[in-house]
Amino acid sequence: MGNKFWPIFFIFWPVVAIITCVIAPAYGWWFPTPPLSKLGVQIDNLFYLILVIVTVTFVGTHIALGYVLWRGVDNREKKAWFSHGSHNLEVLWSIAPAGVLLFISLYQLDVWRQFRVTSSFPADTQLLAEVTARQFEWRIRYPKPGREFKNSMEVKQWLAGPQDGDLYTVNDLRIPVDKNVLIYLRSMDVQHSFFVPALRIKQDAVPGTVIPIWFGATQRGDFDLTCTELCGWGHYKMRGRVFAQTEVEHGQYLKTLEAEQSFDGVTKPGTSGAMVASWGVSDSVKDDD
Amino acid sequence: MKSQLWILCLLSVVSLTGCQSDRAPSFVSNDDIDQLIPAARDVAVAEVEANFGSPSNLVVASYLNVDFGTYSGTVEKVKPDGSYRVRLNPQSPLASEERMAGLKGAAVTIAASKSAESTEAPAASEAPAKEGESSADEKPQVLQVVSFTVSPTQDEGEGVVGDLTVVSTDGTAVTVNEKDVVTVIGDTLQHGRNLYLRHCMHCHGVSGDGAGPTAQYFTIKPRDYRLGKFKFTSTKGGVRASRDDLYRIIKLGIPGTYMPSFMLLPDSESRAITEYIRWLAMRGEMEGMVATQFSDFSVDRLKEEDAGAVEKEFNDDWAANASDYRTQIEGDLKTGWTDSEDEQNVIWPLKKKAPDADPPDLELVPAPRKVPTSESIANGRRLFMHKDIACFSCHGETARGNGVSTETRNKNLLTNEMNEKPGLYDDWGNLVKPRDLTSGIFRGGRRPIDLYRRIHTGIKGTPMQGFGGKSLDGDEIWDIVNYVLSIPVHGATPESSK
Repeated sequence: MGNKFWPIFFIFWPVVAIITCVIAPAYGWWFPTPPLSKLGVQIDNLFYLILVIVTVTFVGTHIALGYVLWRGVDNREKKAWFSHGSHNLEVLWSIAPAGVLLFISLYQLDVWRQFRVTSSFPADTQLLAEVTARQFEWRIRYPKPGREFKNSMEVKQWLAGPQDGDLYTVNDLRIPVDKNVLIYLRSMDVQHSFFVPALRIKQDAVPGTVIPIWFGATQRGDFDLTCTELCGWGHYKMRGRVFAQTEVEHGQYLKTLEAEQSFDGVTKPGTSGAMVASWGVSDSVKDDD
Repeated sequence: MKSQLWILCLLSVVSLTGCQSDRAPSFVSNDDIDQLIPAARDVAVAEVEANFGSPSNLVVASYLNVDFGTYSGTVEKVKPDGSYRVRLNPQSPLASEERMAGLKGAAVTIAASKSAESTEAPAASEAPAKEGESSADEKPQVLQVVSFTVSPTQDEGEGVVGDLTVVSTDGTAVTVNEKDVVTVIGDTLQHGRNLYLRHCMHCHGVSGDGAGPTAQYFTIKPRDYRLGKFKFTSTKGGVRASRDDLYRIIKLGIPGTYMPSFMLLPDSESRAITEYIRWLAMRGEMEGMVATQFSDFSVDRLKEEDAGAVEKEFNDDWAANASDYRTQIEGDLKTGWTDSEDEQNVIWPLKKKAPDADPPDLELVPAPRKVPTSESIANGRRLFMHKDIACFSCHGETARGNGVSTETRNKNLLTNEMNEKPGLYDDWGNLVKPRDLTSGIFRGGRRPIDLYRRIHTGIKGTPMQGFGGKSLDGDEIWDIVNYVLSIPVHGATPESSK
């Protein structure tokens, strides 16, 4: 018996991979939340498809590798067969992965179209806000509540600069639940990435471009918004949230924001400056330490 | 082969332990104190330390108007397992049941109820009480909280009930009886310090000097708190920033600068940071005040005079006047940071009840924002270009922040001497640009009341002066506010004023 360390080593890992996959759901080693948007389900399905493909490939190649090593340990007589330079084999292992990749790229086209192609956005998508990433926060601008954009020219005009009645806030994007909303993503300085894991939304914010993203939450709730492009030393500070509220709550929120933003110190009795009503972050929001 | 192995071992040891062992944060003295003769410097540093301690050894000087998070309670029962059933009354507005559950590591004193009723004397957190204030009573023993478990039993009576386990910091025995008074010391300040060191320190510095490690990369410098000045306040000129002003900045950030928003921090955390920043500002101000008191004893004198004589002069001066100096500095800090919380010192829009009355009628009435009609905006523009108000001289005729003052040499605001270089400088010595009003970014807030206060009181510590009261009446300020708010949307030259 020769040394069986390497064959065992290479077979060990696919075994660990399979065991991990099998027990993962029971231990909750999975996505932090189920997909809370319609498109999120389809995006997850794509993820599962790729997971199956790589698992089969990984396990298969490692079992083959382990088998070859295992056979070779005690084999001192037979000379090895060298496949180097075999045209047929090279054609095979070029075409097989290429075929898999081509399949994935074609298979995902429909989800890509739905998510990215402007003309394929759901017809009822409503313009919600402009989100401007900068080091190290998300600046949010809502159009004047109730404003209807008649055509794309008006939207372009709105995106070109501040307009009367715009509402401003930061790090706290509120959306109405069960609605498809559209945000325009931009960056003021470097590249950032708008990532809402629970909604399966991830989109880079690229300086100089205005990128439309649509999404919708199927559940009321408070979802983490993080920057997922290393944007500088304060990257970790870019903590925001997407808060999906009922339509009534959302309307009320915008009203409160409007009232506070037009506060002139006289019309509404107030304190010397704390604007609290619309911030809505109480001690019940846990810090992540 | 062997040497490679050694290098590998060394590298892994270094990467595990790090190169530097001592990374404890410490306060740095300001430059003025470094300019004093050694004897004066030592006294100055000791004075500041006696009142404020160090980052890992905070001192609670109770004469300061800071919510240190000091609250008290009573021992209800001494339990057989060595812990005490305690009822704590949250007097501090920042105290909450949750915060109390996390008291581990906080400092407490437990004293017989009699002496504890007069706990007005300065107490200390994590450290003995402030020096120089020896009370006739024996100082209560400072203990460290090992654990405080909030009891789930809901009984009648105010306060949070829980089981407290403490340990003495100096190894002496702890004797606790029922009805003893428990005082938790400086809990909010410690909480604020921890949060400050995590979120703020890398720009604003451990001492609040605006010189943290990341500050060097910024063209707009982080605030140096040590002058006790903050730019965007709701308070009158000469009055310091209120808690709400600082809290608002922490919550909303300052667009147009590197100060990000901390919107999602829980309220109690933002409030605790606010307290710590106020406290740091007071510390810096005290340093400045002490340095001013001692300014006669700078190292420059040693060039011409005998060191021993100067030192003797200082020692005599200090021996004779120490208590006066202390009283004055403590009084200034106390009143300064108490006035800032006074509602009387907050700017609210007011206008003359009868502007054209003859003789002049000085009665003022609340001035709600004027409707931003084109007349109002045009009048705002007119005032913007008026020679006595002269907004244009800094902000420029096109409101792009390129007025003629940015190109000329101006007077230094503090020394009243001419600056060496052209441009506008703030009290921290930084070159500042007047705001480009076309950008739609308003650093101190975009509510009408924010802009009203900017024009009424100015931006503290900067060449942006206030025009309220004397030069402009409430309605005129509103005209300018309406004009300024219209610039990003409709341009700097409104149709009706052309």
